[in-house]
Amino acid sequence: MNYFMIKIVWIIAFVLVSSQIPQPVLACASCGSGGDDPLILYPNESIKDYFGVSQSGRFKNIDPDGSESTAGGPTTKQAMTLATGRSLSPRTFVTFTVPFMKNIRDDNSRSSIGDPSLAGRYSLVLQTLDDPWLPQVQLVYGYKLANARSIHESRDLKTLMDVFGTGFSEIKAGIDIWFGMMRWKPGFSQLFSMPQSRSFDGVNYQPGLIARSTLSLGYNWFETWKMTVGVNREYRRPLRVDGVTQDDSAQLNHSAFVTSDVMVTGVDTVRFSLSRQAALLQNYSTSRSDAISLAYMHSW
Amino acid sequence: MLFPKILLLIAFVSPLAGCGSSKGGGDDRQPTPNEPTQTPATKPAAKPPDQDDQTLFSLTEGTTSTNGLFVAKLEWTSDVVAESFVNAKLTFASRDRKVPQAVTDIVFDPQMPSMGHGTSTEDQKIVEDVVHYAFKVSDIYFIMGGKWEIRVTAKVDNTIDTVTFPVNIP
Repeated sequence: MNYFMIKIVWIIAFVLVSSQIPQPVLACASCGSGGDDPLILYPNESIKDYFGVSQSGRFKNIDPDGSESTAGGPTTKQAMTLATGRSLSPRTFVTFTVPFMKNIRDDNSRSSIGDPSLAGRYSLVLQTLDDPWLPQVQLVYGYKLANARSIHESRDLKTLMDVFGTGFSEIKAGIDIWFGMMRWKPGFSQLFSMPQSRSFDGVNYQPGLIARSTLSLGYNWFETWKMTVGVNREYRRPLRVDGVTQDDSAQLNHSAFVTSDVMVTGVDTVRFSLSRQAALLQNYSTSRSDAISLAYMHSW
Repeated sequence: MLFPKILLLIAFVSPLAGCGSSKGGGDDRQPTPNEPTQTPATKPAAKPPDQDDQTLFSLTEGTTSTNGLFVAKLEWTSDVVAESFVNAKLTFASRDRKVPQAVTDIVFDPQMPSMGHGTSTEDQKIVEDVVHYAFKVSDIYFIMGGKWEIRVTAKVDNTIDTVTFPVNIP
């Protein structure tokens, strides 16, 4: 089998496999997320494409007092994400991501395009083999457009099968620090996302600022195989409706993930991930779910 | 001539001897039709109760509306769970906790303030329950569990106000 056929087989395999891209944190399990932007370019990569499939389920709402309650809405959510990235300079790259989402409940399903996003990174500090303790420091920025229908626009308030997004465009900015030159690869990132206010049926909603912290630790088992485990802490400030702060609307979610990256060729990578929202520590006014995902990346 | 006069005198005196309380005075004489009836010294007969005097809620019952214009009570008449139809009974009283004259234009609106959304109300029905100030609310549907608020708006005795009832759904 030649190289081209191997690539075709991998692509077909990924299309046939139904799995999930780790979901961003949801206010409630059926509230919709719109998708995320998972593609990162390494300094030696000029163009990179991403294709991923994911599935999440076992949804539960987490109440303001931390107790679990019925999630409602779809029982399974699937997503297929396409992303492409371009390096603009040795220090800068941008990515464009479009998720295609599917809600499933019993024998019913509905699909929709999610929220597309444009993101980028600028490396303040580049890594070098001469000093493995020098981390890569990147500024992160991005914009997610509210395209998919949110719970505020749902025409099926009984099953929420037509809810795929939050309904609010978001601007994000932050910093990412990563020690990538050693076998052990610790990393830390701090991101802030600000949803833009929007009115539905004459009522103005202003979601609160989101602060997301990530701690990760990767390990290169072999040159071509890396595993990463990590935890996220995402805090969202209270929601304001027509200028009035809503009680118990601040959210906290501690999630955990494990990722395995395998370089099948010098330019092809397969990524497998497992994650759980509200997995540990304190969580409130949020949701719990389990997700599995499989992705293929090709750099040019 | 004397005898008829004596008879007249006896006829005149006899009724006078029957005056006074039969209890204390031992008098058993029955009053004549035209004679005023004198009752014992008791309280005047009570006025028949009407709506204005009828207290519906005690001081510890019910929830006062936002602007204090009425008082209402919400009672669940079925298990309160998510993704299932639930029933309740609403009872209204005037601001002074008495039977109101009229209750109309009721809006029963479940909301989840912490999430910023409500629920489907397309199946909900509100009907009068025997009396004009009590109502059955049927087929209430909570789309998910969590901390909800039932916001009830009503026109009670020609004034509109809103009352809120918290409820936790498992």
